Amino acid sequence: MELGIDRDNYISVDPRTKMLLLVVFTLIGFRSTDIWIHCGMFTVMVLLMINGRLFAKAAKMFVVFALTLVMDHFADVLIPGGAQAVHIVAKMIRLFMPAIMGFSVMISTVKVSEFIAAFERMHLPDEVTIPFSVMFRFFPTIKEEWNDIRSAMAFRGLGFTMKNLLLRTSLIYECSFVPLLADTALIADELSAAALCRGLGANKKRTYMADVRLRPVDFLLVTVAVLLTVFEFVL
Amino acid sequence: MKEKKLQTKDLVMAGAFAVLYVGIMMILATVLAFIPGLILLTPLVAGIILGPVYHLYLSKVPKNGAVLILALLTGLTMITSSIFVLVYLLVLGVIAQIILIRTDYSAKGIAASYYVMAMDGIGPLVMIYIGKQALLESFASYYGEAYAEKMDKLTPTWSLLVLFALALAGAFIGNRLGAKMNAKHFRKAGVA
Repeated sequence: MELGIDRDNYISVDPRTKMLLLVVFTLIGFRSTDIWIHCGMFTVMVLLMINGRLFAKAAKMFVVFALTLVMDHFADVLIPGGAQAVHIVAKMIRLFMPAIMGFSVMISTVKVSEFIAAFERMHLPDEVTIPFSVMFRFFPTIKEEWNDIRSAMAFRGLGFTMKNLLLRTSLIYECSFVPLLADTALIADELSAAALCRGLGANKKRTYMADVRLRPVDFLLVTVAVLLTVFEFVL
Repeated sequence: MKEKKLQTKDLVMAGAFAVLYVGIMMILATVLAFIPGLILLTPLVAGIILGPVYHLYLSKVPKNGAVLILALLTGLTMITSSIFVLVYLLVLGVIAQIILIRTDYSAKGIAASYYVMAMDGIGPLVMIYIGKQALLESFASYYGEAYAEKMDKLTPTWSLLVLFALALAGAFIGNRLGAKMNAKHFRKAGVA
């Protein structure tokens, strides 16, 4: 399966570790209100992003996170009455950040070949491995197609404006969904042709170019995840 | 006899459609969550919108296990909200799969199984009923006390039945739309 991402990470981190971090961080992120835990998760994720050369995204996330801290810190001083609302907004943003960052790390820094290698190392059957890998490969593609469809609709005066959404709901629905579904089906056909060329359909044991194994970094990251979990649930 | 075993081609297709299915459901749940009452409409809206996705997917991959994979992927993506969601979705997937096998993937069978699968729109809301107290506390800390109180009033246990009814209504409309879209566009264009 060809992948548009050809970035190499500075230090290779096993995809399984990233997946574990994504799951654990989302779990904790959605329930924890502790600022230190959120800071810890944020640091790990930003380091992973920088490691995967996602500099612009890491910078953006850093600014957003810093802003929420600033909002929390100064809300009480500056806006005596409406401080509560500001705190809620800051918390809401922090709530979603580990999940969003984890997803973009998964999607943009893991190659499909690494994915499949890691999954097969775990001795999972093809029925799980292939759909799962395709899924992560597909999120950016669908997003791109969706933007193209939206701009094509806007050219023809059927943009996603409030007025159109309310008055021409069924037309909007049909004009966006039919191409979206057709695109998905066609791209998936092409993708499976590419996958077959790479011998994914053959019932033989495959060899891998991707060098996937657990290294010291992985154990370090897993330890951090465990520590954060312990802090959240025990202390 | 038609081949009913999943090929690599079908697995790729399953992954692609799962992205649409899961992505749309997640976006809906997140968007609707901003207003307390609206999140309860997720089963209805998801049922309507996902109908065509489901119909096209099954007309492309009428194989044993196709729905199960869809349920598994959806469940795994939603697992972050609760482990029960995965179990719940797998149960739905198995039932839907049995219906499909019994009806030999006919149009009617697809529609019937969608009534079951559309219940997955309740998945993101399951937490409201299972861990109500914990959830209300976290709502209170995140969205404020007012939101939590409204949420509490809106979701007595019997309202779960309303959610199921909404999901069924959504599936009914979704089925109509799915069948219509397949006939009007995809079969003509050679996609389905």
